[in-house]
Amino acid sequence: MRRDLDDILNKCIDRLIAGESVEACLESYPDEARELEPLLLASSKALALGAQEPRPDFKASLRYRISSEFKARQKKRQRWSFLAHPWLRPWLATVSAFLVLLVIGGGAVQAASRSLPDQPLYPIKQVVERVQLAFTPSGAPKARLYAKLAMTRSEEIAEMVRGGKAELMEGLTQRIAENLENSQVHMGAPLSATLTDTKVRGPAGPAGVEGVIPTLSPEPQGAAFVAPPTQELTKQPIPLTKKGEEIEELKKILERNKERNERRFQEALKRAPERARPALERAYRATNAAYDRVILSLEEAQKQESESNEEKQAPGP
Amino acid sequence: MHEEENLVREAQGGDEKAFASLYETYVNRVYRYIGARVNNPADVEDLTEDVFLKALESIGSFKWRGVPFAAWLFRIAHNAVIDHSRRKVYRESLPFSGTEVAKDDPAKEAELRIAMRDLKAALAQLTETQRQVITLRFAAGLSLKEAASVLGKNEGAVKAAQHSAVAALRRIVGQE
Repeated sequence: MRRDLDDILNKCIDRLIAGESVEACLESYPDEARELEPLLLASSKALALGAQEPRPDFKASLRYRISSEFKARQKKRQRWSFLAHPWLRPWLATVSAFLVLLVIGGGAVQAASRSLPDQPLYPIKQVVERVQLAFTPSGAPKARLYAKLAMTRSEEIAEMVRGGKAELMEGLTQRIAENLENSQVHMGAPLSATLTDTKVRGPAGPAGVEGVIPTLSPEPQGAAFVAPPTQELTKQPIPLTKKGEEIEELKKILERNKERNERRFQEALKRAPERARPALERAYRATNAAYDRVILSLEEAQKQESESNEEKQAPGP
Repeated sequence: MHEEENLVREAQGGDEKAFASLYETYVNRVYRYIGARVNNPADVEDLTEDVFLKALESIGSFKWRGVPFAAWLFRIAHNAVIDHSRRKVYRESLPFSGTEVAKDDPAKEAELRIAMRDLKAALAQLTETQRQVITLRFAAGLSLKEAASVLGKNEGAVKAAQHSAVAALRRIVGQE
């Protein structure tokens, strides 16, 4: 009953605000008229609160003030709009990340370095890596850092196996491939795909989680886990320049990492619960293929570098 | 409502005319709302100015998530009034006389001024929620839904508060 009167009173107040009379409203609700009338009379008195108007000169001066303020803000916005430039954004993010790390302090950073993707400190680990990348010179040093990061991801996969978290494993595998490709790019090695790029999706992963991961020819499913054979890479005696030496060094690092990667995966597979095995095997094949592809590419870069060097050193006619 | 949403988006994108249009739509209502809560006309003007400058400053952060623009604006106005009352800068001795109230009809103007004085005295005796409901509905002319959004309550609760506020107002005004 009370709720009905709340409703009726509200409707009548809306009508009074719209300019209708108290009488018109009472006519609409004859059963409630006695109770409603004093409330509507009080409401009509309250309408006087809406009768006051600001002085026209006040309104005009405030409009002018707002307009000036608006223009000043627009100018300021345009002055700083360069900060929104696409090439500057990663740097701003990196500098912000660096400042965050300074605030967080060394203890947390140290603890984060051992964290895994499903742990709270992992974002700090990612920030540290981003800062490392930002402050590492381009070329060979950055290529080596990317190779190291790829290895870190492999180690994380091995650790994640204990929890049987196949969906996270796929993301890490994708990042290994990306890190290796970045390593290849920073070394100036050709990006021509010598191995096929294949879309893979893990049956244990969530729907929609897909990634383009270079793979070697598929392993027979359910077979004992055996490392696929490494592609035969042709080796030629090449006179090494400085860049050639750097390429050679990175190639050795990646070959060593590939072996470590194989060992880690084999150890991980022994400990892995049955349901995590298919994802782990898939991750292994993808990372192994990524290593093969980058090593092969470095071989090509080495060859090109050597030929170019030979041309430079060849006696003139 | 769609048109207002577009105006807000344009204002957020830096369209001065769009913001000017929002200003014209709401300046009188914001002024009335503040005028119903604050006694000194100079303070009412200052606070109205503060509300629109604050709205200009933060319009970029406004998001359409079921909250009407009016509710967002009147929350700024509400906060301005609360801050003002906390600063205790009322100039109570000055009568509320600086506003334009039916200037072309002196008899009606005098009548409205008396009504306003009595109403403000009556409002002072209400609870804060009742005072809020009355000023948002009768001074600012907000719908029940908008008032509920400003107050952060559901419509049923505000409807009930409105009933009790009007009943209290009737008792107070009836005694005078």
